[in-house]
Amino acid sequence: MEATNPTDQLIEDIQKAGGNNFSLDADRVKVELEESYGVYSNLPIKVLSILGGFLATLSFIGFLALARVLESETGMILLGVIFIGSAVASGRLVRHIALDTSMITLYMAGCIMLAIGMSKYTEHYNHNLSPMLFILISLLTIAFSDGFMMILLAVLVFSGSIFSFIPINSAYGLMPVPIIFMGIGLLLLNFYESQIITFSPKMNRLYKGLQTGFFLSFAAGLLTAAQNIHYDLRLGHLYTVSIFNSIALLGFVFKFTGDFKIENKVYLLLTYFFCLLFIASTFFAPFVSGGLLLLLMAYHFGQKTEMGISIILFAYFISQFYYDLRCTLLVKSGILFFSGMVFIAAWLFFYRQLKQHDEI
Amino acid sequence: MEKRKITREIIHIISRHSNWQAAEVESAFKEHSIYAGSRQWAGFLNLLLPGLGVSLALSGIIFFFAYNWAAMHKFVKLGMVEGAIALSIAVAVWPRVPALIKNIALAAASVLVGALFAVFGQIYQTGADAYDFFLGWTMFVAIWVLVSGFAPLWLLGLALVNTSVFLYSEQVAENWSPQTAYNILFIINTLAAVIVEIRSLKADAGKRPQWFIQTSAIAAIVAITISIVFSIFGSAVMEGVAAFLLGLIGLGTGMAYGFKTKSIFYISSISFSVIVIICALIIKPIHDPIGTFFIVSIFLIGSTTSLIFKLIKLSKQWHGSNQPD
Repeated sequence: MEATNPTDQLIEDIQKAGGNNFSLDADRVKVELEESYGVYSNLPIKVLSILGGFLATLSFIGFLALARVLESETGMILLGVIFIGSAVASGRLVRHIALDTSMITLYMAGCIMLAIGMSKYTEHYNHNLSPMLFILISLLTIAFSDGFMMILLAVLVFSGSIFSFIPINSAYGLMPVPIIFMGIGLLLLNFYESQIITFSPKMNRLYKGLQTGFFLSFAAGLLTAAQNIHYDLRLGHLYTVSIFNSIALLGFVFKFTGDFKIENKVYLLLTYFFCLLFIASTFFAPFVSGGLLLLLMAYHFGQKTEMGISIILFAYFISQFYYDLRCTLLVKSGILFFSGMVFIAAWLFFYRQLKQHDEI
Repeated sequence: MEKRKITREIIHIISRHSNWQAAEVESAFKEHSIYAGSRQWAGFLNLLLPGLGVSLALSGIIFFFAYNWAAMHKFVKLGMVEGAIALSIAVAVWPRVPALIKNIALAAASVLVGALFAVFGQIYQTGADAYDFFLGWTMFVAIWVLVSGFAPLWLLGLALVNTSVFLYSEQVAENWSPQTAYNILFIINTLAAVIVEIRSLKADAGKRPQWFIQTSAIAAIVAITISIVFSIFGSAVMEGVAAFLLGLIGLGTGMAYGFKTKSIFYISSISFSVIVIICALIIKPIHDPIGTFFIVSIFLIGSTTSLIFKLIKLSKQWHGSNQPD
């Protein structure tokens, strides 16, 4: 009998293609599909648990500050470790989205308490100890958890710790390093999704949290660059981020031309020409090309929420370009107008081809 | 198993409990349109290239006039913006131009009207951030916004109305309490959401500007939540009563509509607004700040957790396996 359900149909197709070599734990698949209904596919629920957890953490830290608990460094470290441990343990014991708010509160409050306690301890020693400890904590969290929210929080703690090495060591010139690291991580996670999720069940469970975490971390890096570039000229080597963005954007164009089967050399050359013109015009504003990269990746890999965030970020990056003190408004207006014209020219040139593909 | 569209989550779950090969998983992502194929890309580029091109070119024009080139004669400046508006309108009314491009051109003309007012203000020193600048801009693009049927242009119109009201309350209506401005913003944004929701009822689900409706609904909910929280801690009695009444009617109707249309969005956002209002009500009478913060944090965790439990239950009950993405 033919399967009428798309999921059953998909499983049947995989079985046909794989033959006798294909094995599937149908009962587990059925249970997890039932559990997944309406959970993480529903954005308002995700946002609600994050907002609730965030406000509860703020309120709890306010309570600790007023109760003078924050003044005892040993107490802070101890409570911080207990809170983080409880969050990870409860995440392992009970896998239910409704408990995310409590886990977020426990984990965030734990990290804040540990950071305050550690900052008092390491005041007279090496200041790099705190971020190193947090990197270790985040890696341990990833190793012992497999829920989306815990992994996401752990990745954010990890990237926050990596970024914090820069102000701690006043190594502002190295700012591009963590941004590019996060960008490479995001590219690899997006392009190798199939390989990662089929590698092992553990990696499969980690994937979603890691991908979202790296997306947010790369976006946060670009945001930092966009906000600081106009007054903090110590971040002078940010053009290296532009080089990374350029390579990634050109890689994307290479992929399109392959997917679109563009073999006409004139079209190929013009596609790369338009792309290079845009890259050249925004070379000194890496956050603009980074914003476009985020938008294209989110669209290609079907990440709808990330696409919405990327559109807002891109608009914000353009507005931040206004404050870039390295060139006059006249030069900036020329750059933006020219970039706009490049896109319009590209669209006019490829309009017929795009229309043909769209109508197939 | 029940009927359910193939999503990324389903592919992840099947792959987790089978020996499905990476190359086949990759094909499944493409085949079920989770990754964009050449057809989707063509449609997307047809939207992205002109949209991005016009947005960047407009930003360039705005930056150019912000530069305030002293050597350029004022008539040249005004003439340039007016020329750009005329060109955009010509594209918008040209019969053979596709509808999307007409809408983008109309949106560009609406932004350029703001640039024209700004240049005018720059030349004759009328004040660039005065409320009447935004009010004038709003009035002069109102007809285009209303007739366009283009959600991004509606968003621009709504943002202009919000800014005009907010600046009016800051710069002119000195006797207004903060609640008055937020109450008005609540009414405006609610009306926008309701009008577009009613207008979209007959449209196909895929063609509804859901993002616009949700943005205006969120703006309305945030405005009334701020107004009620201000009323709890403030002294303006009449405005406070108005805020509570508006909240009761608006949020109540929104909640009922959420249940009627089985919309998790309305129920979750309105419920969270109520949680914030209750937090303010808890904080107000307690004079022990230490205890207050502790109680509020416990209340937040408890209320959000039970709300999520309820939402998941409702979601399963209403949509079963056909969850919206």
